[in-house]
Amino acid sequence: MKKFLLLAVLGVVFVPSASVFAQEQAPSGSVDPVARCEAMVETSKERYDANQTRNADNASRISATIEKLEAFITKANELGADTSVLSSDMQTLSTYMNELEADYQAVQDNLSVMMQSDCETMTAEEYRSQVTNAKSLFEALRANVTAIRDLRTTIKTHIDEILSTIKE
Amino acid sequence: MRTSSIFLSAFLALVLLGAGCASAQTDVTTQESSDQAAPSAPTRRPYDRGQDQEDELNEEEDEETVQEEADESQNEVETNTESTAELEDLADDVDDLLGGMDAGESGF
Repeated sequence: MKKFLLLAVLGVVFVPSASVFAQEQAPSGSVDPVARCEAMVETSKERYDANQTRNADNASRISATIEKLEAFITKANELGADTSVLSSDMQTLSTYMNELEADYQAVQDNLSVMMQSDCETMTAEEYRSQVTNAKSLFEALRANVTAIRDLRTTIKTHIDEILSTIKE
Repeated sequence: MRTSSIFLSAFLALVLLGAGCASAQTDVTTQESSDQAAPSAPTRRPYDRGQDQEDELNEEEDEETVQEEADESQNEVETNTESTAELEDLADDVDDLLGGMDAGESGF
């Protein structure tokens, strides 16, 4: 019984102490702001290059899609189908393409600024602001890509309707 | 006596004339009956042969027209099938292209 009481007392004394010790040793409390900034600059360069490649691929895909849709609409019209709704989808896709290009440019411009950060003088507040801004701009770009992927479903539905009409 | 001979001669002439007319009428009636009774007699006159040739030509033309219409219909079906296949290919391309859209990651 005495042993249990002794263990309980020791536990009450040492467990909180260990917790405090662990907090003091945590890396978050001792992150080197310069190293963190340099990591951000490096990431910005990587994202910049990756975005460039990805955006070129996305733009190429949308352009090719519009060409294919134009060919589809022309052919379907020859077969007497009503393609007005699909034409409207194509216009929407064209609008999304312009918006995506603008969003992409905003992301890249911001990354360019981040790449040129002076890590010796950058404050923690400036760092947080830049990262938050980068995430926000990227979310706008991601939303645009999501809208295009949703439009893909709509286009598929309208194409299927036209094909059904032609086959009847 | 002389007067009665004249009358007798005139009477005979009338009788003969009447008999001749009756015979001619009988011939005409017989011919008409014959024509009506056998309209499709095997005897082929030049007009009939020409008509037959025209009928044969028309029949051949009709057969050709039917064949042409069948060919056109077949061609139309084949064209529609090709066009539909082409449209389906385009639809697949559109779906693949837009399906490959990628936003990537922010990295931060």
